[in-house]
Amino acid sequence: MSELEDSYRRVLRLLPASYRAERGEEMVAAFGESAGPDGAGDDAEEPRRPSWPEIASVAALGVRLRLGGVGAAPRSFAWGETVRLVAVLGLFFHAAVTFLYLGGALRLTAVPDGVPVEYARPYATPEPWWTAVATLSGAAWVVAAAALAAARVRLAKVLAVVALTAELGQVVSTLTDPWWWDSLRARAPLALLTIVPVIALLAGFHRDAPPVRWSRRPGVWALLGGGALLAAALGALASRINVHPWAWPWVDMPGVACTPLLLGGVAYLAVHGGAARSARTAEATPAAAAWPLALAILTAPVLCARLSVLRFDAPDAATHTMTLIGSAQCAALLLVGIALLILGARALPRPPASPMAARREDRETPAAGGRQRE
Amino acid sequence: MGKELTEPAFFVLTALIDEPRHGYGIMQEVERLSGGRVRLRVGTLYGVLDRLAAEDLVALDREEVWQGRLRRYYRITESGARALDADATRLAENARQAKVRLRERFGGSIGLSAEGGTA
Repeated sequence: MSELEDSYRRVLRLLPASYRAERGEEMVAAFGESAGPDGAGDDAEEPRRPSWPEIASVAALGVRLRLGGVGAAPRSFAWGETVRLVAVLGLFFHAAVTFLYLGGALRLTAVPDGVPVEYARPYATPEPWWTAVATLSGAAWVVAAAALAAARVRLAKVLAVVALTAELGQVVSTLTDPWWWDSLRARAPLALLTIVPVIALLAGFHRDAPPVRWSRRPGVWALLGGGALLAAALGALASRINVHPWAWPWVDMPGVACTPLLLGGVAYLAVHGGAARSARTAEATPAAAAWPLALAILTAPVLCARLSVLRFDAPDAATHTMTLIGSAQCAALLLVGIALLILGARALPRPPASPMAARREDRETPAAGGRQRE
Repeated sequence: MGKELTEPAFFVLTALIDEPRHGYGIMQEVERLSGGRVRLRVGTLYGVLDRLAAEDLVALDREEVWQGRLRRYYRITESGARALDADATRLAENARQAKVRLRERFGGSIGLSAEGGTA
């Protein structure tokens, strides 16, 4: 039994250290008794390690503790809000990208300008299966974002996983290239733009997460529709400038992500940067930390995706221009990301002395009322 | 006004009515009360206990060391009993409504009528 308990102790490392210090022995005891000879556990088929459902229950507890929802300690709630914001921004970004490329493709179909239609897509690959996959994942992103806006979180998760599967399928498909290593090295970091928000969605919107309420505000759907139209219009516009090498680093996927992220990051820093200099205590709230931290987290996949396609050894002038602009984007992303990270870290509420104290201190906040039956 | 409890929370509170219980004791009792339908995993149980403790519905009763293992016993608090009572009343009312409607539609022998109707 001690080997099984040791194994369970290792599983408990998924929980925050402070929580483990308080609950660890008790959980090991409960697990040991449930798996023991007089226990009701039917885990005898896996005597050397806990069953997968046991491991999953600890992992889910770890996620809920770290990415707190309603009733969690302020610091853990701030991290929860951060991750949920990463998911929301990521989903709406991908939905907007769908409209962006749709706008570009429609315009090029209507007015070709001598530019191949494939240029309207993120990656010019002629295979018909690509079009099918891109259409499927584009539709999945749009409906997933709409589902999240309508508080249909489960549907949003399913569709986001569909889009993620399509994305990973494209990464795997690079292995069929004769120069697969180069393709994989350039393509795999791009997948981070999908992986990060999807994982954030799956992890952040757990059963303790506060219900999505902003969708009920008037004007939200008009705003989202307007955003979709704006994205399509920008796509149509971008397809016109897409013939210049200086434009390419702005219209591929990392470039499209880079622009709003830099604009949003700089705007946030401009508004809140000065105020935060003295602010460790006064402004340490979950909301003050979530925005800068979420934007900082999002700069990481965009930076990786951009870095992966930079070619410093390029002989031609066009690639040289693209590398120069791409490098400037990377430097800007890095600077803005670090500044946001510092700002967010300062705004994080202090860690509690003990988890029990945190929960007690938190009792005044509106508790988990109206939780839905699972 | 009682708040709606999740099913595991409902069973955990019910398991604590007669006496304080420790983690594994709660798991056993919940399984027994639910006729084997609800089998709490340890991670799930402690997530439920954390929420119930945060809402003051359960409290730590005592600690014991049994065969070298730490056992913490939890008891239901007064507000926990009130919340459970309110939720049980709500569920009973739901069940009563369903029973009344069924009786109105199918008469006394509900099971036979329903089966006869679909046969």
